[in-house]
Amino acid sequence: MKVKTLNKEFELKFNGSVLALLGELGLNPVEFLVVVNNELVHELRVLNGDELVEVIPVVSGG
Amino acid sequence: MKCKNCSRQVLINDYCKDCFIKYFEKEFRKGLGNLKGKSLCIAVSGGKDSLTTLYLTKKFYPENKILALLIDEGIHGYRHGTIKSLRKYAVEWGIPYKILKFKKPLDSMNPKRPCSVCGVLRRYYLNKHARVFNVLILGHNLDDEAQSTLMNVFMRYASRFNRMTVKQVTHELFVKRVKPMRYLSEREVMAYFLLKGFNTSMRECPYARSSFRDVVRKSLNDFEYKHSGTKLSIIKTYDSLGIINNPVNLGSCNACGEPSSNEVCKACMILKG
Repeated sequence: MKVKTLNKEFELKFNGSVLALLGELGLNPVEFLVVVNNELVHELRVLNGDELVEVIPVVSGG
Repeated sequence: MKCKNCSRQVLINDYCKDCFIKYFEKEFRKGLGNLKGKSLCIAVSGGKDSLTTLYLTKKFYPENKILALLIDEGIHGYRHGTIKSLRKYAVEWGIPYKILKFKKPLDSMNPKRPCSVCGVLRRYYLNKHARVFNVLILGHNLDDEAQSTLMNVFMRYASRFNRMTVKQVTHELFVKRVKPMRYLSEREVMAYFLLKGFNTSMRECPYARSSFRDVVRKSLNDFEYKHSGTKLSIIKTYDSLGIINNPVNLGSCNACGEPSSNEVCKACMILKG
């Protein structure tokens, strides 16, 4: 799958839930939301290989 | 998993999309209180919190006189994107806006503690320019409020702790504040913002990572992850102390006459450098 964060974009081989993906990336789920193919998804949503996954920080500004 | 209100698929906080939006707007409306007939100045940065505040205040009080007031701090490469968003949405929603700049850009002051200086000056300019309105509406969310509460405890700022979110300040130049998102988390605000299809710059302030607030934010988020509901507990505990109902008596700054708890206000001290 293609993973997009605020600063970078990369390919990742991953099977599992959104929550597991955040864990894999070392991110606190309290601080991020995940959008898959332009739609906000629940943290228990299982991701499949072909999706565009955007990891969006909930903290912005100062 | 099913939504706790209906049988649809859950999306966030045990709610489906539609029920979450309803819950969010209901909480916001409760936080606004009764502002019928009041003129409203909304402090905006153009980020997700203030744009959400602007959109929903206009939605619930379409007949009120409203101004969106943005203070441009003068931080290189930071404010440009959110100013663009404010301009776009203010026009779309039919809300007049005003953009003010720091007399001296923050970058040029080269301050040791940029976030403290920025905060003092922003509050100073907001209060000064919102004076012709009945109420100043702020987009602070639950995370901001919980962080500020802890920061005041950690730093032993007892007087600041005592006047957080007070209902009554006895100074004729102090504008009454309303924080409609005080009980809504930053995550909920971002979810609402995305679900409504809004967009803005997510760029972080270049000074943010060096702030004490950032340390508290990270610790509090780690705690929230392990002990869900921590932030709300902090705010509810604060509220239960009864401080909110105590009137705060502020004096006037000897130099500029603005409300101040010191003989000379911090803004004057900073501006005189």
